Amino acid sequence: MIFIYHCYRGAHLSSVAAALHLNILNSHSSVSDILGLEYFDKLQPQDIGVPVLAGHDENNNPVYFMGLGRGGHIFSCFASSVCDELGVEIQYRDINCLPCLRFLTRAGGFISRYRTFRRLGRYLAAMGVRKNLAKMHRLVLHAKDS
Amino acid sequence: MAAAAVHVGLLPKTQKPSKQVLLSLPYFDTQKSDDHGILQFVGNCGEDLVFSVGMETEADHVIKALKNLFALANEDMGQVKFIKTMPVVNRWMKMGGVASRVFGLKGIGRPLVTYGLSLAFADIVQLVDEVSSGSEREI
Repeated sequence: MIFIYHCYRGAHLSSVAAALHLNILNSHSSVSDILGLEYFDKLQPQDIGVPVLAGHDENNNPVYFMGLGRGGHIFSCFASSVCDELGVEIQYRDINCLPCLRFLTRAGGFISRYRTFRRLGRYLAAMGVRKNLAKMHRLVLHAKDS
Repeated sequence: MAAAAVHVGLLPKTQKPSKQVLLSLPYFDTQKSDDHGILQFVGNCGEDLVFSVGMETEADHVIKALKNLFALANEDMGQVKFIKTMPVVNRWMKMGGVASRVFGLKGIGRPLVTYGLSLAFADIVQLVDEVSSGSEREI
C-alpha cells in the first residue's frame, strides 16, 4: 500500500502527518521536534504535485507527502476515476491533511516564504501544527487502519 | 464539455451552437464543485473514448501528481491524452461558471456561459482540430 499525505504546499501538514505515520513524531511531540523534521517547511510551490518519500512504515509500506495546491479533493476523485476507467488497480491511499489546517500554520507558511522572516514563519507554522497534532494523529491512525 | 462534444461530433464544427443546443448537451452546467475530478464519458471518436473533467485551476498540479502516482506504482497510463481547455475559456464563461456553480444563480450564469461559448467556439474547434491531428496540446 502506498500512502500519500497531501496538503497545500507539502511543506507543513503533510510532512508532519508522514512523520506521525512513521512514528518519528507522536501526538505529544513538541514544537522543536516538529522544527527538527528533515522536510518541515522545505517544499516550495514549484514542487506541488511531486510526492516525496518520507520512509517506510512498520509494514514496509512507502509513505509519501506532497503538495496539491487547492486540488486535494479533485486529485482524490480524479485518481480513482482514471484508475477505474483504465482498469488499473493501484494499492494507494491519499489522505488530505487540509482539515487540520489552522490559521497559525497558514500565516506561518505564508511568512516563511520571505527570507527575512523565515525563522518566524517556520516557528508559527510549527506552533499551529503542534496545536492540532492530536487531530492529525487521529487522521493518520484512521488512514493506517482503514 | 463543449470541446469534448465537438470532438465526438455532438456539436457540428461548422455552425455556432445555439443556447438550446448547448443546454441539451449531456452534463452541460450540471457539475457541482464536489464533482470536479470525476471523469464524464461524452462519447467515442473512432476507437477513442472522450471524457470531460472539471479541474478548476488545478489541472497542472493534479495531472502531474497522477502521473507521479502511476510512476510510483509502476503502472502504465497507456494512450491517455490530457487536453487543457482553459486557454480558450473567456471571461464570460468564467463569470457564468462562478455565478452558476458557486452562487447557484443558473438564471444568470447559463446565459453568460452560452454567450461566452458562442464567442469562443472557433477557438474550441481549432483546439479540437489540433488535438485530433496529433498536435501537442497535452499537459
